[in-house]
Amino acid sequence: MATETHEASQERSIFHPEIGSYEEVNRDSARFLTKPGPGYVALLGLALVMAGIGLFAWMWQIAFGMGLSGKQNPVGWTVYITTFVFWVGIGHAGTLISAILLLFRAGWRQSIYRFAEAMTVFAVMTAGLFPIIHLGRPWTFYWLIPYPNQRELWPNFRSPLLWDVFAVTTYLTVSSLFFYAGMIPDIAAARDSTKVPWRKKFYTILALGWRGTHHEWKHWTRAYLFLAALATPLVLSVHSVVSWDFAISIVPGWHATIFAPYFVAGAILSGVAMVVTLMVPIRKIFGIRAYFTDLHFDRLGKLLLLTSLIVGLAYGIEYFIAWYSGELMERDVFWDRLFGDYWWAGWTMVIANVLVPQLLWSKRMRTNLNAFFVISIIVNIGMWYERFVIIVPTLARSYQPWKFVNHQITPVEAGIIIGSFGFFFLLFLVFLRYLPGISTAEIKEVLPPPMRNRKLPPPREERYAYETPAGYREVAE
Amino acid sequence: MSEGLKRRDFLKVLGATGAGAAAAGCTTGDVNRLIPYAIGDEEIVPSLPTWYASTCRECPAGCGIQVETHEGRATKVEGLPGHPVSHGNLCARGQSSVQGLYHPDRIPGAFRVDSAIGRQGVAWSTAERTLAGAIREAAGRVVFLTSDYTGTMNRLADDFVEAVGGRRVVYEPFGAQPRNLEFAEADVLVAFGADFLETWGSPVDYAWQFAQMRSRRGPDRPKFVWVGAHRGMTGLNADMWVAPRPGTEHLVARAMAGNGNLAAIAEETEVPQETLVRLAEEFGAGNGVALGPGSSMSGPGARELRQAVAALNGMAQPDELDAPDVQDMVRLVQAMNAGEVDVLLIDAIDPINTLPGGLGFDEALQRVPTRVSFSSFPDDTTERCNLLLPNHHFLEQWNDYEPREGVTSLVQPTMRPVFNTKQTGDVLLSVARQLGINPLSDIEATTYHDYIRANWAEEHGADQDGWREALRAGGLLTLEEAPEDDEDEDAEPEVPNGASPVPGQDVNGAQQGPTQAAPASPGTTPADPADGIDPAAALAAVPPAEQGRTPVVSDGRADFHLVVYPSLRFYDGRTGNRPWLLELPDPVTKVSWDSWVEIHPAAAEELGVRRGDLLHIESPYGTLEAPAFIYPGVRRDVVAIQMGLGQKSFGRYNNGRGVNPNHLLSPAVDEESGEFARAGLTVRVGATGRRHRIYEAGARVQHDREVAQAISVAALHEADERQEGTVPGYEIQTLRGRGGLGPTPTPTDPAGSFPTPGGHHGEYLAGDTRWAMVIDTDRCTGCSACVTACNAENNIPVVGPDQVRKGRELAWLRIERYFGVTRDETEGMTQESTNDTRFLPMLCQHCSNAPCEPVCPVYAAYHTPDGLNAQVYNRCVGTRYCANNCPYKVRVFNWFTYEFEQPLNWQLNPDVTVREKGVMEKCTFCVQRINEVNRAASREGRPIRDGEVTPACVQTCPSEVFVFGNISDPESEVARAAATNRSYRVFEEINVQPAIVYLKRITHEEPAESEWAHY
Repeated sequence: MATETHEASQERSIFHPEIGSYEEVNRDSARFLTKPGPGYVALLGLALVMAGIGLFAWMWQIAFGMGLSGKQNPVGWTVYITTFVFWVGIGHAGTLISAILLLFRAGWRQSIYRFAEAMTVFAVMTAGLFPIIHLGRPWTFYWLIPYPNQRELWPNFRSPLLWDVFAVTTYLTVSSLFFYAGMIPDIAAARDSTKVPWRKKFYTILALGWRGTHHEWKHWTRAYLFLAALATPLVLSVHSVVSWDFAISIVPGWHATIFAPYFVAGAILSGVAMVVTLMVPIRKIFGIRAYFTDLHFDRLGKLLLLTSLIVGLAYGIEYFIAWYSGELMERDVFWDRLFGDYWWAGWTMVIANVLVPQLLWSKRMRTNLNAFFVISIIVNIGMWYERFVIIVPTLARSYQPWKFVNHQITPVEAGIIIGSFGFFFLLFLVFLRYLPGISTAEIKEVLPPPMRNRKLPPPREERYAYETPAGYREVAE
Repeated sequence: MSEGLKRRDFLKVLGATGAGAAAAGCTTGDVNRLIPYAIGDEEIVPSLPTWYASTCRECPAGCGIQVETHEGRATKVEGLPGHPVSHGNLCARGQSSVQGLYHPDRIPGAFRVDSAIGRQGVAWSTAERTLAGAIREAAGRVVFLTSDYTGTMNRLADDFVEAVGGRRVVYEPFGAQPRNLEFAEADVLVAFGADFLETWGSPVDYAWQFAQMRSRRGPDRPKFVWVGAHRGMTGLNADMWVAPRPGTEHLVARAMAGNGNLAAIAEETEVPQETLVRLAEEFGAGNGVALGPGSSMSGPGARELRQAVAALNGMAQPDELDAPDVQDMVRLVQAMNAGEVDVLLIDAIDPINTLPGGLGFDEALQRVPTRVSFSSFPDDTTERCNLLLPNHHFLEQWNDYEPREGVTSLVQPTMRPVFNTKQTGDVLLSVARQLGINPLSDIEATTYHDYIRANWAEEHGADQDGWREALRAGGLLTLEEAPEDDEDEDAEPEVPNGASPVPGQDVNGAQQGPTQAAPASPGTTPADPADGIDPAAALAAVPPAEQGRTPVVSDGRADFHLVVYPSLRFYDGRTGNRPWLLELPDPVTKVSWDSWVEIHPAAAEELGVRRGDLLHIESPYGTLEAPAFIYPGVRRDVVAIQMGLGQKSFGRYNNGRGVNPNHLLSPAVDEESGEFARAGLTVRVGATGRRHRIYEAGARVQHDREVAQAISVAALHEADERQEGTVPGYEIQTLRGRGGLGPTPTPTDPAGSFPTPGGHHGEYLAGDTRWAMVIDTDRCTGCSACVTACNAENNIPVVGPDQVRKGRELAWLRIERYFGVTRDETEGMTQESTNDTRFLPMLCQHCSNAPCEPVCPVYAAYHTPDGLNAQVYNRCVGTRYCANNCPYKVRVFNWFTYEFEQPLNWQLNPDVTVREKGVMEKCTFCVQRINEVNRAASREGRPIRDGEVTPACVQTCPSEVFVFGNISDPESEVARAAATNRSYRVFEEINVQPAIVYLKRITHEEPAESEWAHY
C-alpha cells in the first residue's frame, strides 16, 4: 500500500515479525472479546469506583455551589479547566496516529491506531464534561448552543468559549465517525465469529450489514481516507481554539500569539505520553508483544522527544518575550511561575516536560518499556501541570495588586479529577472488551500475504494474562 | 412625610400585609390571612419608596438621616440632605442601622429570667406589673442607668427616677467628646489621638469638614498632623505623624504653644527637637486648630493635654463639656457591691463590655436582685438581667435627640415594629401609672408619643403645624440648603477657599467651638515664605528613624504600652453584631471578622512573632490572647488593640469573634476628661506559640502597578499654573465618535491612529449619555461607608469569615489601602511608608472597551447604550471568564447561594435582584437608581439633570469623594472634575477605556514612584 508496506512481500513483516499469518491476527483479535479474567474485573471495578467518586463530587458541587471548589474571586478557573485542556490535548496524539500517519502511509500505525483513536474519542468525551462541570450553573449549559429558541437568545460568537463548544463538538463528531468507520469491518468479523446472542445482535447492528464485498471495501477505503483527511486539520485546529480561550484574553501570561502552536505541540506531547501509558499495560496484560513491538515504542519515543523539544522551545520563547517586551506584568507573571508561590508547579512542568524526555535520546530508554512507561507517566503529570501553571498562577497574580491570592485544591476538585480518570478508563476498558481493539484488516495490510508453503514463525510464548495457560494453549492450538 | 398618627395606622395594616406577604414569599409557616392591598394609601405608591426624616442613633453624633421604606419596610438609611451634622452623608455604622433593625438576634418580646425556669416570655402587661412591683418594694433603692439621653427622654427619665425616689446614672463611653468643632478653614490641623474621621465627636461632620479643609488648592495646602502612639485610619490620613511616648502628648502640645524647654520635652516625649520646632512654627504661622484628646488618650496627662489643646486653640480653659461623669459609674458599682441597689434599670450600651474590666461591673451586677435591661440585643449585660424589656430600634421609635446645641433632631418610626418590643418611654409611663405617679412631670400622656408632643409644645412651642414641620425636616434645625437642591457637587475640589457653610452657628447665633480665636477671614493668608518656612517642604523633615524604642525582651516577653482605641466599624462594640460591619475590612489592617494586636515589625521581630501568632497580653486587670498583626503604624514600644469585639453572647454573628481589650483596663477615672483612663497602662506581651490565622485582604504595596497615584503639592501647583487646570492633549471630557472616552495620545500613538475605543462594542452614539465617575483619592479617608452603603443598596450578601478567608467576599466596592508602590512587601513595613498611605476605592470601571464583554459566551456581560457595562444575572451561566479577564478584579462570583437570615431579608431592596449561586455580579453604578431617574425624566419629558442620579456610594460618602454623572456632557460636574491635572485612569495603558477617572492624592512631599511609573 505504501513504501513501508512493500516489506509485506517479504517473509515477515518488518513491523510485526512475530506474526506469521492472517489467522493469527484473527485469533488474537477475537481473544480480546472473550471472557475476562480477574485482573480485568479488578481494573474495571477500580475505574467504576473512581468514576463514582467523581460523580458524587460533581453532584455535591451542583447541589451546594461552585464554592466547594477552591476557586476565589480573581481565580475563576483552576483545575477543572486544567483538566479540560489536559484531556483535549490527550486526544490529539490519537488523531495524529490514526489520521495523519494514515495519510502518510506509515505502516507502523496499523496495530496501535485503534487504541489511540479510542483514546482520542474517550479523552474528548471526558474533556467535554469539564466545561459543563466548571459552570456556575451547569444546568444552563445548553444556552451556549446556538439554535433558535423561545428565549430569543443567541450566543456571543466573539467569545472563545463558544468557539470551544464548536471545537470540541466537531472534534468529538469527526473522531467518533473516524473511529467507528474504521471499525466496521472488524465489527462484522466479530459478528460472524461470536456465539453469544446479545453480542451477535449488538455487532449486527453496529456492522451496518457489512459483508466484505469488493464494492464495500472500495467505498470503505475511500470514506476512511476522506475521514482521515477531515480529522487531520483538527489536530491543529482544536487545540489552537482551546489555546485561544487564553490567548484572546488580556491577561498577562495568556495574551500571547505563540499559544496556538505551543498548545498543539503540548497536546501531541501529552497525547503520545498517554498512548505509551496505555500501550505498555495492554501489551503486558493481553500479551500482544507481537503487535506492540519495540519498533512502535521506539518511534513513539522519537515523536515524544520531538514534541518535547518543541514544547521546550515554546517555554523558552515565552520567557524571552516576557523579558523582551519589558512589560511589567508580563515579566511578573513569568517570574512568579518559576520563582513565585507556584514554583513547585512551574518546575514540575519544566522538568517533566522538557528535561525528563531528554532520556529518550537513548534507544535503550525508548525500548525499555518500564523506563518508558515511567517517563510517559512523568510527562502526563508534567503536561497537567503545564496547564495548571498557565491557568492558576497567572490568574492569581494578574493586573490588580490588591487581588493577589493563592488557590488551594479542595476534596471536591480532587474527586472530580479522579472521577475524570475513572470515566476515561471505564470507557477504555469497556471498549477493550466489547469492540475490536486491533484493526485486523489494517494489520493484515502490513503482513506478508498468505501463500502456500510459507514458513511460519515459531509459536509465541506470550500469554493472555487473564486466561489460564491451559486455555491459551487450547486457543493456540 | 406626613403627620404621624395617620401614617402609623396605615403602617399597622401595611406591616401586617407586608409580614404576610413576606411569610408567603419565603414559605415559612402558614399564611392564614392576607389583607388585600385593595385600598391604597394616597402617600404610598407600590414600588415607589417613601422617605422619612429621622436621626441616626448609632453613636452620640446624631446625624440627620432619611429612611427609605418600601411598602412599610425600612430598606435603607441615608444622610438627610442639608442636615447640619450629616451634610446628607452617613458613615458605615449609620448605614448598617437597618441590619440592627432586622437583626435576627433581637430580643423578640418581654422576658422574665428565673434561675429555676430559665428565660420565659411574658406579656408586656405582666412584665410592667413585675417591674412596678419591684420598684415599689425597692422603696427608692432604684437606679436607672441610662445612656446620654437628651431632650424629652432625659426629662422623662429624670422625672421618673425622682418620682420613685431613685437615682439616675448616665453612662456613655465616648460621650465626653466635643461634637461642635469647626476646622474646615484650618491651615494646620493637629489631632492628639482624636480619631475624628472614625469615632471621635461627630465623625461624619468632621470628615466633611476635613474634606473641605483639604480641598483648598494652591501651594498653601493645609496640613494635618497626627499626634499619637498609634496610627489609626485618621492618623493614616495625616501628612505627618508624631508619636510621642504615650502619656506625654500634652508636652508636645505645650511645645507647640511655645512653652517649656524644648530639649527637655524632646527627651521626655522622644520626639526629635527639630520636629517640635517645625510643628510649633507651622502651627503658629497659619490658622492652626488642635483636636483632642482622643478616646485612646484618656488617662495620665489627659488633663494637661486638654488644657494645652485649649491653649493652642486660643482658649484659656477647655470648654465645659456637657458630658456624664464616669465617677457616677464608679460610685454605682460601689453601691451595687454594697448591696444598696435593689432595682437596676439599664438602658446603656452593654456596660460589662464597655467598662474597664478592672471596675468589676459584672460581679457587682450579680448583687442586684432585680436587673432590668431595655436593650434590644442579648448582649452580655442583658444576659445577666432577670427582666428583659427590649426597646424599639430607633427606626421604630418616637424620640428626639440633641447632638449639640442648636440641633434638635427628631426620631420618628419608619415602620411597624419588627418584634414585640416596646419603647422604653412607654414602659416608664406605664409603670409610673401603675405606681400611681400620674401625671408624670405634669404631662398628661398615656403614650410616649403624646408625652413627646406635649413636651415639644412646652419646650419648643411646637403646635400641630410646628410639629409636622419639624417631623418633615427631621427636627428643629436650620438646614444648610433646601433638601431638593442637594447634589453631590456641593463641595467640589474647585470650591473656593473657605466657602463652606459653618454649621452650628445658625440657630442661636452663638459660635461654639475652639476655633473662635482663629482668624475669621476665610482667605487666611498662607505662611509667608519669607518667614523662613517653605510650606511644601517643611513637613518633609519627618525623621525617617522609627519612632519609639523597641522594648527589651526577657523570657520571651516584653513590656509594651497598651493603646486601646474605638473601632470605626463597631464603635465601642455596640455594632459588633452587624454582619455588614463584621465583614467590612478594617480600613487600616484590612482584617475582617476578627480582632488583632497591632505590633511594630521591629518589636515583632524581637519577640519572634509573625502575623497571626497568638500573643498573650497581660495587664494588672486581666489577660487576653489575640493574633499579632505586624503594623508599622505603631510606636515600637506600643501594642494597640481595637475594641468592639470579644463579647460573650452578642448573637450568632459575633459569637466567639475577637477579644475585648476593655477587660485589660484599669478602673481609674481621669478626673478632668471624665473618662476612664484608657492610656497609661503597661502590659506584658509574649508569644503563646500558637497561631490564629487572620486574613488580611489585599497587598500592602502596589507591586509597581501604581494603581493609586499621588502628586506633590509643588508639582501640582506648577502644572496648574502652567496649564490652568487642564491637561492639553488629554481631552478626557470629549467623547469620541461612537463612544468611550478618548484614548490618550502618546508620542508613538497619536490620537486616532487606532480604532475608536468602544466603537465596536458599546454601540452608543456621540452626544448620548455616558455615565462616568470621578473619584478623588485625595479626599478619600478610607472610612468604607460607601462599601456598606453598597451592601445595603444592592442586596449584597455577607459570606462569613470562612469564605472571606478564601477571598470570596462579595462586596462590589472595596477600599484598597497601599503603603508603598514597589514590589517589595517589606517596604510597607516601615513607619515612613505609612506617611504615604493611599486609599483607592475600587469598583467596576464600566470600561468602554470592556474586556469582560466579548468573552462572555451568552451575552450576560454586555454594554448598554448609556455606557454601562451591564451584567444580566439571569443570563449568566457562570463561566467566570469575565472575571478572569477583568484587569481590575472587581467582578465577584456567587460561589454559593447565600442566605439572608430571617428577618434580615426584610431589608432587601425590592428594586434589585437577589442573586443565586453560580452567577457573576459586580457594581452596576446603581442602575436601578439610574432607571428610576430615567423614568421620572421621561414622564416629565425632560432630559436627566446633572447630579440627579446618585449611586449609593456617591450618596453616602462623608468626604464627598465621588462625582457621578454624564461625562459626554462637557458642562456636567463629572466632566469638569475629570479634566484636571490630577486625573488618571487605572491601567490606562491597556486601552480598556474605563469610565472611572481617579484624581491623584496630593502629598506634601514628593511621592514615591515605582521604577515602572514612566515606562
